Amino acid sequence: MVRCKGTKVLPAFFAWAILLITTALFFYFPCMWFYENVSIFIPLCEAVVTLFVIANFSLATFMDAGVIPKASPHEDKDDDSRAPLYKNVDINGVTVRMKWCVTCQFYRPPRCSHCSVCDKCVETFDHHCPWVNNCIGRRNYRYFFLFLISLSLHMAAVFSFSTYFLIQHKDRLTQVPTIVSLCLVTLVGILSVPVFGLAGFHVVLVARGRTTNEQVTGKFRGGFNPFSRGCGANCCYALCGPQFASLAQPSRYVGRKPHRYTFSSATNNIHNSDVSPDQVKVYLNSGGHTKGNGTGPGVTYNKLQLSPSRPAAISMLETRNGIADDMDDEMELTEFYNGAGSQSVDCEASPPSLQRGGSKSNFFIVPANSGYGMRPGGDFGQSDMTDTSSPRRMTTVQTLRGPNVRGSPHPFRANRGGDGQRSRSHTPDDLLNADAAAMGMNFARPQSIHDVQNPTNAGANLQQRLRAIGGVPTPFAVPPRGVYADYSRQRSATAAGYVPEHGNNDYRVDPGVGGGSPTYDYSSSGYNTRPQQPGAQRRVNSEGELLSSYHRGDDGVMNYSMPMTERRSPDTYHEALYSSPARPGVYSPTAHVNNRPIPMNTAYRMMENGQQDLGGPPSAKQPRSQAPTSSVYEVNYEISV
Amino acid sequence: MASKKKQTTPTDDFSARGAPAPPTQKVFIQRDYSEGTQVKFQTKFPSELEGKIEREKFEYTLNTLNEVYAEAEKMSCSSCCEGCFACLTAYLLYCCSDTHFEKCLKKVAKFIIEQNERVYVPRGLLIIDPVERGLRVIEICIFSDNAASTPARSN
Repeated sequence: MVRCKGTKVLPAFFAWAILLITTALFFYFPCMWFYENVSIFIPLCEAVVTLFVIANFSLATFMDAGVIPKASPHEDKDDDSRAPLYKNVDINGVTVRMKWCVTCQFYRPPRCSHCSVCDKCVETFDHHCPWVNNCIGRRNYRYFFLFLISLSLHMAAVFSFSTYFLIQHKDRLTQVPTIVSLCLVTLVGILSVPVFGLAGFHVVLVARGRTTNEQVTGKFRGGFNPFSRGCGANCCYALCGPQFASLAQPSRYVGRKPHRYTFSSATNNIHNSDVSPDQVKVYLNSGGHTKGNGTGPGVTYNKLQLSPSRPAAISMLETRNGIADDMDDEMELTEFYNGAGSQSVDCEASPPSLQRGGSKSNFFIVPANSGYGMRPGGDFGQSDMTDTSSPRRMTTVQTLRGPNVRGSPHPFRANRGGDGQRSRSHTPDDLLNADAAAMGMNFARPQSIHDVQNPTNAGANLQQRLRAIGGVPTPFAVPPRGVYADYSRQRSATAAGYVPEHGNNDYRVDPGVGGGSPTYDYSSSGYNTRPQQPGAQRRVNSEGELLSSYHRGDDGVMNYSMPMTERRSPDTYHEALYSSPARPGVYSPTAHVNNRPIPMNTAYRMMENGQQDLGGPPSAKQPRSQAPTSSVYEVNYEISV
Repeated sequence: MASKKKQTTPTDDFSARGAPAPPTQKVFIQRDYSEGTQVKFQTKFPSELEGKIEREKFEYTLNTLNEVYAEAEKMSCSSCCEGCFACLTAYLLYCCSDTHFEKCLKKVAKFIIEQNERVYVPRGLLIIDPVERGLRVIEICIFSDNAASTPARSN
């Protein structure tokens, strides 16, 4: 610690040493000669300049650079990572970003920067100067600048007077004063290069009203500096403007002890209230009113309102609060930020997708195939999700409140828990009914697939489905795609892979690999251009009797003939089976045979085979060639047709 | 995390100011940077203070504060002379007397005490001097008992 401090001080110590030693040597040797032989005014002027240099150097070194004290812990308590990293303000018509300072716990005012060496936020930060071991900021920039100017002057004087002294004594080079003068000339000549360069640089900066920090980082490279008042005024302000007061010790202004007021007794019963003392309410012009009852979510809400870059999120929360006061807002907000909501927020293109603290953007691994990544698919109107300001963004959150997927960014896992188990044991009758009805409908009217997948036509279905999975039935309630993609995968797996000998394997297959993958890819990634896609059909129609009743309304009468021909064409494995004539009228629209549910796979096959033996168990109808490897083809068949 | 912070919070900060209890709510009025880095605060009336203080009184306070701060930072002849004189005395002047800015800050402190005593404290409010917050925000504490009982957060 001590050593570290020592190394920090070392450059400043070195600078002071050089300054004082060279000046002393100059005064002792050449200046004495000038005093004795030329004039007393030369040492006098030099003394004034030196004094000026030292005074400015001292002030630049020891003065508080304009440190903004850290926010008191009870100012902004819950400063959790939720508010954005940046806040935009307009200064003279130019938008400037204010960054949240994690250390100091406030938004750094414009031109303010956090010095990593001093670990403090410094107003109008110019740079941290190791030679003065201090930051150069709003308060001491003037002294630093004057130090540079006077030092340049001083060095020029030392250099020229020493050179003159050398010229006068060039025949006595071995004497001490001449040697000292030679050393001074050399040293000052070398050091004058950086010092003069720096002084010139700062002259330009002062004239342009910039700081070193802004100049080096190129803040105004593209245009207008909102802090400049014009060349003359900038110089004037820098040199003899008002001296900004130090804020490090507010007790200098408000007294060592805070003023004591006499509160009325009416406020005395606050002790009994259950409100915690650290309630925070943040007021902003742009943010409007904020709700804050202090405890976690309330302040979270405040923080949200602070964010100028998330209008959608704000409006969502406001709406939520407005319409449903009795809902558990805590859960809602927490979910929104911890769960999938953060993902939708992160879709924003603007920098504010960064979160405070840097580590809070998303704690979850986004499944590669989850709904959030599948925008191009565009069924269920998901293309709207790309519009981040759209109110539909809120629906992502709302639908995630369903029983299975509440707050989970992994709709797959959530859904698999429910559906996978169900289908592993057996397929419920009602679902089979729905499937069969849906299938029949789709066979009858293949073009209806388009209709159903069309977001505009799917509206009624979506409403029903949302209700079924526990979502809020708003007109905008569009579920995340992942839910449906997964659902369809499950359903199509139900249809495709239910072979009693090895059917269960299909359910255990990881969604990304194995036999399930083709199903999943096709149904979830948006390749819905094919008219015949059982997975997609079932996705649309799979939510139980709600939908089956809906479809039965139009399509209760089944007519298999037309789709059957279509389904045959791409398949080669079942080529032989197609030779048998299709008998459309024979089949019942439901897949019940002798009151037993038949897996959809079997139902398909029975239909294709012309159905010789409806009464037999499903397993008996499997062809001998259905080895485990062929089930993969089966899946492919189901999907690609 | 939040609970940790709560534990470290000095809750009796306000007892030194004569407050009977910690404030139930705090309103922060942010800086107005629209004209640059000069000290200036937003004068929009915060809705949390609705019904707690008259709009004119609040605006008077803030406008006066802004005026004093503007005067503190104004490039005037006196401040210019002050700088030059300090320079001539090798900045020994700063050791002896307050700068113009510091005088203005003291003026603000006096004004805030006066406003607190006359206007704010009788209404259950308390302004914290912005200097104590690094001139970043004006903190207005609300000490009203009905704030705790009413679900006032509904507005």
